Amino acid sequence: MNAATASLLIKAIDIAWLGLAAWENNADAKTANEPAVASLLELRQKITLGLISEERASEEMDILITQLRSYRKSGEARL
Amino acid sequence: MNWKTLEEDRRSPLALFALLVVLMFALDGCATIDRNLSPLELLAEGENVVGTAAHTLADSADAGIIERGSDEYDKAAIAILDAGEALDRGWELYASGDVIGAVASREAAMDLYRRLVRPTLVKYSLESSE
Repeated sequence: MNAATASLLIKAIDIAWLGLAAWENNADAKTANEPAVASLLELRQKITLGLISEERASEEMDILITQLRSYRKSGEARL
Repeated sequence: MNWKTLEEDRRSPLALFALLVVLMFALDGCATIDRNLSPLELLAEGENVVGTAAHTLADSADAGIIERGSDEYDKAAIAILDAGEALDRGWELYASGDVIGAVASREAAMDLYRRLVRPTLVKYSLESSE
């Protein structure tokens, strides 16, 4: 096996593994996004309990959602 | 598949890998996915899937496995961007309190991924291992 073939084989493994892991393993998605998801859940609780102003809640939610979208956005920018 | 032939084939490690990938994706298609997730978790999972697909397609193009500008690349790339727009709509609906609409948008994104993106990634992962 030459170097080029080996490189492509490694890339194929990456594709197979990433594609499968991303789709099948919810735990991976949860882990990757866990901090922002936890913060969003906490924020929703504060909103429900009236512990935070609507304006402040909206600002914080926008920030957290932007964090959650950043990985995808960076991928889209490479296409 | 003839295992004896495989063993004798000097490319048998690649052929075996191809078989492994086929089995993985066959199992993947049959996998029961836990759908007891909140709308927020579903959207986050959607972000991870579509984001990973975008990076994987870009990595594949960078590695020369798929050609940028080819029909298949463009089809998958457009589907990823469309799926991203569906997720963006999902987040907007989620932020406005419409969780049913948010989940529906997320499902639209996943449908695009399943139909138009994953088959391309699977195909090129198999071809590159041959």
